[in-house]
Amino acid sequence: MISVQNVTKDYKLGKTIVKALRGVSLDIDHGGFSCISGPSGCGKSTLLNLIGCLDKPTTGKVIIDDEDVGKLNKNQLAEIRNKKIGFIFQSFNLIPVLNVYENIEMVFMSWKDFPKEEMYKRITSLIEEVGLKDYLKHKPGELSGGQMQRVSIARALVTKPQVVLADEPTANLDSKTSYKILEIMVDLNKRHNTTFIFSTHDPIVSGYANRNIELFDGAIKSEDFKNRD
Amino acid sequence: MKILKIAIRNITRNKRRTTITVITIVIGVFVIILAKGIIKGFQNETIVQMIETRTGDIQIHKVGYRETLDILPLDLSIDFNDVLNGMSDSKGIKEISGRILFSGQLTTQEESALLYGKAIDVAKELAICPRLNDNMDLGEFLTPEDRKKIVLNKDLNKKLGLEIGNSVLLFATSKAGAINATELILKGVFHSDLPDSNKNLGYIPLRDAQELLLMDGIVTEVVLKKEGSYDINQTVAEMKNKFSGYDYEINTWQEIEQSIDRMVESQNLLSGAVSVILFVIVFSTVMNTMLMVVLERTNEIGTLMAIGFKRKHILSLFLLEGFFKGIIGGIIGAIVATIVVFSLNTIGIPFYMPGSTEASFIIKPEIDLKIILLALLFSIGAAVLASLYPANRGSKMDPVEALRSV
Repeated sequence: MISVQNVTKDYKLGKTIVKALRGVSLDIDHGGFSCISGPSGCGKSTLLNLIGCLDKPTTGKVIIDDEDVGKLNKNQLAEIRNKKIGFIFQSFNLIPVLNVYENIEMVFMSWKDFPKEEMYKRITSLIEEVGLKDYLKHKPGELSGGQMQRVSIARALVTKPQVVLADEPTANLDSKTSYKILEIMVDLNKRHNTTFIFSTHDPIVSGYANRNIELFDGAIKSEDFKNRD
Repeated sequence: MKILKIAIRNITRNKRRTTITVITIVIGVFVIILAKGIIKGFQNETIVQMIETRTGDIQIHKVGYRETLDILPLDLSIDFNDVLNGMSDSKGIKEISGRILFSGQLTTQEESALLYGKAIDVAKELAICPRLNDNMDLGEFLTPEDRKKIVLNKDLNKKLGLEIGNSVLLFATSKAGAINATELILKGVFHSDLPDSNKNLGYIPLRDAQELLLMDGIVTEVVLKKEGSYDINQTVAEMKNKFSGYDYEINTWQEIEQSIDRMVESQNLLSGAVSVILFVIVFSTVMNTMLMVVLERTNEIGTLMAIGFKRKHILSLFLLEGFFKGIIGGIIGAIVATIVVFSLNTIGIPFYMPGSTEASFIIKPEIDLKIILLALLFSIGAAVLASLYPANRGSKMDPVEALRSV
């Protein structure tokens, strides 16, 4: 489904070239719950950005549904992000002027012919699944960190994407809330069979994944699979 | 629709910043409408002054008279009865009066000065130019019973050094070329605030001029006042048709006093320049605010891009925000300006000419719907144009860079 083939990513930092990824290859199959772990600066976010079509590799290929995303223009990449990928951010990244329902509804921006009833059904059902049924009209400023992250999860899943990418989704949450959020993610992964890839440097958090890819200095250091059940 | 919703809500997000932007737009729109209203009121008042002290609504001259007006020819004259007969069954005309414009020499025992004489049928003239009574500095204007009296421009009188009741000798060349003289008593001294006013102007009764210049029943200029509801151009067209057999030139006040057009043009140019300056101020304030907004919301732009917003969506989001600020500021500015202009119209603004201690005339600023619409267009245009660069900058951001910003 998603194939990362010998990908490198270089950044220019003044006159210095920083090699964020040094030839990473991996395949992500449908329905997995994968974790990219490693210390700060190892390239976790860079790899997620490339898989999420937010960035293009310097060399190598990122293939999503047999399509080399490196060859797509900005609008085509936006289209893929909108239809096939869901994002969960470390800082939740909700739009402060919109309420919970509207924040999720916003993802349907380009879905011109999508039936409104279906959209309403999907949004309300997901809001219920993440336990925010009573917060439909609340603005982000009226929610706790954990509640905001739940909205973020609902927003990521509402378009039924092929993959949900979560860059350190628990980094801004206390441990109790973090585990709750991870349990919700695991639950949704099982029920919707949606692929999740998340990054973390917390070993307890990475323990929730059934596949752990450990990065170090821009390359895969180790990879292990386990049965989450 | 969703972009519209976000744009509208974003306006209230940073209230202080939005208030500053909107106030700038309000001030811009307010000043434009008020300035235009005052200028329009000034122009209207000048035109009324012009018509009611100098030109009347319509004038009739012999063909070629206006081209040789500098020498005030008496031979290019009109038989006043021909005009009266021709106009006997005309509709739309309230009053007709004859004038003789002539040049002469006014002489006292000590001084002598050139006179630009205007001989008038006082009763009819005052029906056409009633404001002649309003510009008196000393004494009074002529009355229909007056004979052998003269009213002089204050500059001319200053030169002659006359006091009310003093006599002065008027020498003038008759139509036949003979130099005649008559003694006149100074009845009043007037001023004129109009552009191109002749400082040597003096009024005498028509009968006296006709005797002096040997022009019984003859005038060099016929001046008319139309009925208020009649269209001046249509009236002139009908008159031209009626007098097609005569070698008359019939003109509206506008054709006669082209200095008014020049004045209107220069004032419009000035108000245009003011509008341009205001546009620049509004433009730079809105652009500055929008740049701050884009900078502040960089992370949000990154989020929107991540969830699939395209460049056009981001662009329209910020342009709509600018558009709404423009429309809010424009509407508030237009309402405030309309109230102020309306109040000033009721009260009136006294206008003092340089050096004058008395108000020359009262300006009644006018509300012009066209100006209000233009000012609204100005505010929206300035706000949208000023948002274009920041919006474009926001829409071209790299999503990864944008998401990285705090």
